[in-house]
Amino acid sequence: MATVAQNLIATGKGLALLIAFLWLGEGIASYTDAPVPGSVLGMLLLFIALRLYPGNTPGWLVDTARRLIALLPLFFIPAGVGIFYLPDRFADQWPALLGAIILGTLLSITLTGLLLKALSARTASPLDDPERHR
Amino acid sequence: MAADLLQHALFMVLTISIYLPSLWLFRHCHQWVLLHPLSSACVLLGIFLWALDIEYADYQRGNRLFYWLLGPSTVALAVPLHQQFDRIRQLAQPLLLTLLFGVVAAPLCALSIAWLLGAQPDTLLAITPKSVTTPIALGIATEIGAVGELTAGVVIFTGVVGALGGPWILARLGLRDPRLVGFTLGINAHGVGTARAFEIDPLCGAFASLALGLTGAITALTLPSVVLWLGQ
Repeated sequence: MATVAQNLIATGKGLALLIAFLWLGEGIASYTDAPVPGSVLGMLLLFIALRLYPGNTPGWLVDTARRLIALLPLFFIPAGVGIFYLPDRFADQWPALLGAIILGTLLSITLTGLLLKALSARTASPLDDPERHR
Repeated sequence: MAADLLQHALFMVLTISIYLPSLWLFRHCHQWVLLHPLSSACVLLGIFLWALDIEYADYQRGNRLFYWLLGPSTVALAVPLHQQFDRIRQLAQPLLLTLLFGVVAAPLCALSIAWLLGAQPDTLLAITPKSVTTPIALGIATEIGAVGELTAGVVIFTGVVGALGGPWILARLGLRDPRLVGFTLGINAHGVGTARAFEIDPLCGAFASLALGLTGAITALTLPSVVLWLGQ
């Protein structure tokens, strides 16, 4: 029981900190009229804070972040269902839309992937670093 | 009020009760990508809403909590980014160059294909911000006068196609390094691609998070001016 309670408190602490940074980001975004959403600014602010923080990143924050990120696909599903509800007045545009989305996305992934591979092969850093396979 | 809350709770239960079996099926079918919850759960929910004659707007309103949780989850991406920062720094130069290329290539690939297939100007405008995260894309859509609803659908569809097709196509091109796969997914498939990248490998996810943030920021700062300048 004690571990369940500890887990809940740790997750609560992690969530509270993430929400605090989200609100900070949203506050700055609306105050400065920045074109970047508050969540992206909050991510940047938390990143800077973690860089400046002298100790190790607290375990409760690492765990909460990992759990939330693992749930990202679930959070995207309600928006994903919206694919089937594109506005009616674009009904005759579906070949162009499907082509642009499917072929266009796969084409730009191919191009950026190949460019990144070619560019990173020239920098001396090894592509498979053994540290990862501890 | 109480009936409203009950309806919201029911719609969230509906999402979860379709998501969990979809995830189970995906994991038990050798992670076959077409069975990923991002496609299978969306299709099943689409059929479900259609069969029960439920308005998508009602369903979406009921799932507002999930949409809201995307906010703290995006902030949470800073944690793996910080943990992997030394590995990111090693590749700084190729990453930055690819980023600058990708920010231009992603909309250009989509626009040229749509134009070849006879897209109307309205459609072209709406697909321009397709590779950036939804809130940024909607902001850009407002600035350039595109139809927000269409942009929202196009952006999420792009994310799903990129997240599912991206790693597959990159593997066929001999690209399996999780750092490079992650960064490519982040540039082209925003948050949905990043979610997928974390399933592949935490390192892959950290690189996707970086690309997601930078692509969004650069596009938000440049794309509206370019479109307005071209429109003159």
